[in-house]
Amino acid sequence: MRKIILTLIIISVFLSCDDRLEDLNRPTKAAVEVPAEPLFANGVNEMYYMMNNSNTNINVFRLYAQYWAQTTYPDESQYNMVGRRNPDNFWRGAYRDALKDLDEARKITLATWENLGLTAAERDNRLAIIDVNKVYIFASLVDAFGAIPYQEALDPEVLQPSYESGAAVYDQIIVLLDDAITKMDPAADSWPAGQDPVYEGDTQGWLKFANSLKLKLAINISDVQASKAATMVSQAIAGGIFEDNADNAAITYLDAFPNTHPIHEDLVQSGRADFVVANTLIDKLNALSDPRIAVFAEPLADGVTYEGGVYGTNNTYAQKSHIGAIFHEPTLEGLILDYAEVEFMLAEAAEKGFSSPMSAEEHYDQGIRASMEYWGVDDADIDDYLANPGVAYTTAPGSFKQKIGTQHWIALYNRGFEGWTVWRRLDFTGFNVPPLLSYSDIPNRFIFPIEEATLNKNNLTEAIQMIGGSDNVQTKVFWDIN
Amino acid sequence: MKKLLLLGLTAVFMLVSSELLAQDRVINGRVTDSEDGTGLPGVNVVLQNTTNGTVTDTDGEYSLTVPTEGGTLVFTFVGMATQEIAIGGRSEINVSLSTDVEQLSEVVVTALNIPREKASLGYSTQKIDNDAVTTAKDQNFINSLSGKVSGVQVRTNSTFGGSTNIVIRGNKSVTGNNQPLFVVDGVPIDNSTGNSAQQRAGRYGYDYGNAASDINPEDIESINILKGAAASALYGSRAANGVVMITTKKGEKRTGLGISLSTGVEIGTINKETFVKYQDKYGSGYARESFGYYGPDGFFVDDDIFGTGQTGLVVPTLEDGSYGAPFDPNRNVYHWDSFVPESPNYQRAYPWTAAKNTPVDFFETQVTWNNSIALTGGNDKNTFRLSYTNFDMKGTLPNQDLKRHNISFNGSSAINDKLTADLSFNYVKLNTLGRPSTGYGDNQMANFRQWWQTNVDIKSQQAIFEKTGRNVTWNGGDYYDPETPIFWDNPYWTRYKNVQTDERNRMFGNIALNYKATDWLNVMARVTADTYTELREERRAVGSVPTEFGINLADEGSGYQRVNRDVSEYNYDLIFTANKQLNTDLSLSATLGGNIRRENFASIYSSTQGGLVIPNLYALSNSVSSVPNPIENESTKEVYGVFANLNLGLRSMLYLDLQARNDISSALPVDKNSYFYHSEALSFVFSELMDGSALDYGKIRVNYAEVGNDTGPQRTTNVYTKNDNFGSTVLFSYPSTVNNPNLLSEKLTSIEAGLELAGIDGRLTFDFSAYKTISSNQILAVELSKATGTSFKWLNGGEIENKGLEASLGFDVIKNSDFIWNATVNWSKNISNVNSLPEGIDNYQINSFQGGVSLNATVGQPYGVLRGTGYQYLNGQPVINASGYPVAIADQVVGNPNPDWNGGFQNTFSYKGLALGFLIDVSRGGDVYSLDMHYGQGTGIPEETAALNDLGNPIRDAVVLVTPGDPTQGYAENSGGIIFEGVQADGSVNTVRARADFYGGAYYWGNATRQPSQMTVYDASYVKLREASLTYRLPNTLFGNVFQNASISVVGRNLWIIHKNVPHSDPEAGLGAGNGQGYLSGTYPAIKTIGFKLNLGF
Repeated sequence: MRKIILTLIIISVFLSCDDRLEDLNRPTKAAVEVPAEPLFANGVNEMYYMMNNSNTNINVFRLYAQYWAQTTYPDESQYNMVGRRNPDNFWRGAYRDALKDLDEARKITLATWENLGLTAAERDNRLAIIDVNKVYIFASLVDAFGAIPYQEALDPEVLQPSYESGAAVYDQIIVLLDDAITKMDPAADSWPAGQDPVYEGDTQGWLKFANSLKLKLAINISDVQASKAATMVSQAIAGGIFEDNADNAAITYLDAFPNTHPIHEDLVQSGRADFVVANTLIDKLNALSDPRIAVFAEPLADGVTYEGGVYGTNNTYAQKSHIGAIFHEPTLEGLILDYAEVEFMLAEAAEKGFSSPMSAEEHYDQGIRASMEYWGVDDADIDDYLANPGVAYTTAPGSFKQKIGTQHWIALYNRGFEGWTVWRRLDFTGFNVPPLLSYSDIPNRFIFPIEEATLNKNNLTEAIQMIGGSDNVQTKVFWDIN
Repeated sequence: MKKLLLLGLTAVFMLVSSELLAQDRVINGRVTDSEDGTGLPGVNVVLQNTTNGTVTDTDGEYSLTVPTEGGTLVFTFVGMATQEIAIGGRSEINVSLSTDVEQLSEVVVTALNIPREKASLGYSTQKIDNDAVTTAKDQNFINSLSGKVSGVQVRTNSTFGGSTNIVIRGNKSVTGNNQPLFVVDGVPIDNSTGNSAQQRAGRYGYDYGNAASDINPEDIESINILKGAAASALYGSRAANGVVMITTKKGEKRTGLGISLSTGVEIGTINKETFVKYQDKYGSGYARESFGYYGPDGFFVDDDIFGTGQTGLVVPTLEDGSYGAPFDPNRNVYHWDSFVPESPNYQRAYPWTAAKNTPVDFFETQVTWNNSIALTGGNDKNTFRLSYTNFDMKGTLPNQDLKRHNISFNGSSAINDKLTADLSFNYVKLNTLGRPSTGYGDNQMANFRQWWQTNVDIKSQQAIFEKTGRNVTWNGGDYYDPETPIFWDNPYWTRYKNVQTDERNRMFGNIALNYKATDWLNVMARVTADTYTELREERRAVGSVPTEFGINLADEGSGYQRVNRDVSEYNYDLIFTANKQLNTDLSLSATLGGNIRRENFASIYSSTQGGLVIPNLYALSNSVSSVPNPIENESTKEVYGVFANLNLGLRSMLYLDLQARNDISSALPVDKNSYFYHSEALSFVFSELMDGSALDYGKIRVNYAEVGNDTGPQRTTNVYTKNDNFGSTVLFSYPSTVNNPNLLSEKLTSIEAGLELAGIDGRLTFDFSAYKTISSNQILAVELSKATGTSFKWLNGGEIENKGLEASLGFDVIKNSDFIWNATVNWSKNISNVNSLPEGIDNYQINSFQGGVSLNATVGQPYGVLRGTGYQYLNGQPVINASGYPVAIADQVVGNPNPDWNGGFQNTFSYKGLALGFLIDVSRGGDVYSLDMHYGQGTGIPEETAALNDLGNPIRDAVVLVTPGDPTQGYAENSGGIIFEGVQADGSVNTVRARADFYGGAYYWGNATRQPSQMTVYDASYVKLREASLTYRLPNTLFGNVFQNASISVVGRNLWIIHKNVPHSDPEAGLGAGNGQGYLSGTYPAIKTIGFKLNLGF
């Protein structure tokens, strides 16, 4: 009897405390619901971090583009991707840190825009800007890996997202980009200025970025889908692309960590001496008497000589040219797409027979000028440089790919990923081969993330088939057929 | 609500008590052991020829209501001779029982502190007494369990103040806690380490030790290990990993005040077999002469350093490896101290030789003091014990000190004939100075083992630090900037300037009221509490090498970080226990109870950012940049349980034990938060049927149990992560771990069978168990492809199976009145298998480590296998590439950290007052991956990297072919290089000599295509002389009977590693307690201790 009473008391207590138990389990120090703006800003911020940092665990593209060389530990320069799992970290930065926040901002915007009192145009602008950024990141992922999860990505309900071929992803993101461009209304507001670290809510700025990005995608596929590329180039130009450096897709970093330019941590805060400027770049700049050498690099102790670290080997830090002073500034601007790049792509478009506002030579000259202006070279020096027979479009050696490729590559200094991409697309010569390796060891792509083999095995196996059966660095991404 | 429930329970309690008053007369008394006079719990006291009976309590006391006239009490207890005593007119009957050689058993403390006769238990428990943890004492009493209990695997960590991994019968949870529950006198004790995720993954961090190491060994009376689910089912799901039940010493009835004193000192030194043996042939550098990137021979910088117009050779101080120039005493070069004005070698080139003092000389002597006093007293009604222990350990690294104060009070008071109140209170204060960092980041062992120049004399580093007080390091950025440390600080700077401290204040104890409602029914109401606050502070002094530090784990040259932790657990129990001899044949004991458990956890982690403004001021406000968002955690979990236990005994021979419990946990989704579980056990004392055989006692037991489990709090609602603002832009991000509102409770099922035997007049005892457990429906944070937009998601699913055998054998090899030789063997084997994981996943990464290796739960493999690049095999032989290096293939299972078996062999020899004991602890099989060897060999530090090859030539000499360019003609007699064992791609035995003359050459290259991680996977077997002690018990007459007992001991721990296969390290070393075992990175050498101990009892 007593036992029964006891049991009843306890049971009745339990029955009455469901709500209490639920409350007990509710998080008290973290937000369960948040607005879209801080997710959007975070996604954009992470996108810039992913493309601009120089952490040897994540972004090794300043090395792959042979702008920088390493001093004591040249593993990454020798294309060891396994030791530090660089593909995993780059992939994670793209999907988890950047794309997912943008995707979540999109969902929350759709759910909350009416309560926020946004107009439909403002809502569309916000969504379109999100999509443009997503397109940029997905394109970078395809350019890095060859095949990637797209439709099934970004949904934690789908535990193992399947991959799609690079060409299929490009097709879809081009549609998404076109849709975003159509929906953008430059007259209407978009994100609040304080939550848009790139264009401060200026829809027009984002629209130019979207069209310039369209130009970039077009040029990337120009060897495999020429007619589609031609149409896209014309549309992008008509829609309005970057016209000067003020249009650049750039983020202004701040004085104090963690808001400093990402390379500040590796070059200054770490106190280490891991990097010097690579001989690949220094030799080229020396040969062309390029005035940007004084910006990109520091002279040796004699104050005049520039000597690059031998790419792919150990280098004595004290005896090679250091990274230029401006890159040690915490407030260095972070870039993901700039005016010089647009001009070089237009030059390439002209050579490939697509419509372009001016001739290849004029765009080429304009690209060099834009780059030099950006880095603070004065006009007289720019004119001298353009007159240099090794630079002048008519006299510079090699095919258009060699000429445009080389100058585009120089202009992309500090844009390692794009520097490497331009090398892959235009196949200009001049890269060095690390000791004991051969030219074919210079990567054409990142291998798939090592952890995908355990976390997403079946889909990975299919993805390897999609890219031709070999998950190695020799395999080329779909647009890279030359 | 809690109050309401308590009120309710109290009401019931009152109700019960008032109903059971009227009877005739009450007989009280105490049953003691005739051998030592201690109280005997669990003795059956029955009025002859009736069903009226009771059982003695933990102190051996009983009370029984009997009719006014006549009667005889029968006292029975397994292992003791039965006594029958006529009551007569007495109201108090004290009895002393003596051992019955025909019977042998013992009383053990079972779940919820219920004492039970061991014979009646259908499951395995193993008891060890206090000598086991106090004689050859360790700072962490858990270490003292190693080798002493079958089925218990203890991994002693040599990190100063570090945590010890203890696992009973295998790992049952993929990601959850696999450590047993610790209970002190009924109080569940928190045993978390609170170590950071980075620390556990082998990156920056400190091992803060097990919280259960707060328990003072001097206060321990005995430890009982409940191994299986059936044994611990009453504790609920949290005891699925077994329970370490600790009973502390209590006061007892005596004349006058008892005083016991103990004092001990231990001296510890490093075991050099567990530290690097340095090569002494080559010094600093990575130079690979074929690159020839500087100097005349590629080894030294050649420059006009002091602006004299004369060039000189400079040691490459920037390079933290030893693949440089061969030592040559006739070659004078500028060393790191040639650039330091305060150094006697300033601007002086001096001979290029190996250091006279290697980092072995960095270690100091560990000194441990342990002083303890205990007062005991008692009369018929009240007993108490009050003790104080002061523990002080100065470690083997400079500037290390761990101090612990324990105050403990145990009191018991009989308020009246029926009501007893017990109070237990413990206060612990722990202060630690200078814990060492673990793993890869900023750890001096990573420095000494992985990244070191053999030309650097550690004593000259000490001298320059003491002289200048600055961070003058051997590893300066370069000769033109010698005082900017590049990778490693001066080791003495690290010890004296980058100081870690922590403090823990803890109280635990319980208040219990015991009410003897009738002679057969007892009601206990108990409140237990364990609560502590902790402050952990980590510091980097201005001028240190920037390294991962602070909340954002950015490279910080200086900084301060602190973690405040508040941990508490409260339990409210109401337990009815009934013990009744139903008739001459049938006995019954039953338990019915309820438990409310409340766990609170709160922590705040805060750090500076961008460095410190004012040197040596360690305050958050002294941050250069704004202080990053602190990480705050706050959670509460409540679990409500009702449980019942019924044990029926037939003729002290056949016992049936049934248990059931239902829990409701706040951590589970509300509609699925209740889960029921149960166990059934049968024990058969078959020796009762046998007469006159050599077998004194024999029992077989079987049981089946199902136990449910909940999960940690706050895993059912998703939350967003707030990042530091970008200027004034606010940033939030999607969580990297996604929660799940649909979690279900976990389930563990277990079956177990066992055999217990005792024979040859009690000289031989044997206990054997076989078990199998299946833990299913596990709740785990599954790692996902990052393409999902997150890293982890909480999911149900997955099953781990553990099966094993355990045996312990005790034998008094010699036993006569003067001399006893007792030998005990414990042996256990556990085999685990991951049967499944959540759907679609066949591998779960438990930890990802530096070096490209990870620890995993892989379907079809034992729990915790190491994966990394492995050898490519051809006909069972590793394939060697054309350059002579082993070929690597990605993502192979390269090791299994679980030992094949564990064993302990303990011997005690006693002759009159003299006792000699030693314990040999054995672990067979199991693998470890050594990052220390991976990098250490890669940088040319240990002696084997400068050995001679099969031709008798230094392996670092050039590989020379007889005919240049034609390997078919073989190698010249003077060829260097090494031949890796294996076969060439065509299957032929490898004869290609691999170059071993440069950094990363022969041993390490990052594992991508050659030199697989498997190369530094080692067999972790060991045989250790774990403990040895010699104790002399002084005759009481020696000091005129002033002392009731006095003894003096010489003790030693970890004296000798008799056998091991892991080079330069202790196979047991690791990152600390937790699931990440089998990974050696920056491990600390094992410490051999030898000491003296004096015990005095007044």
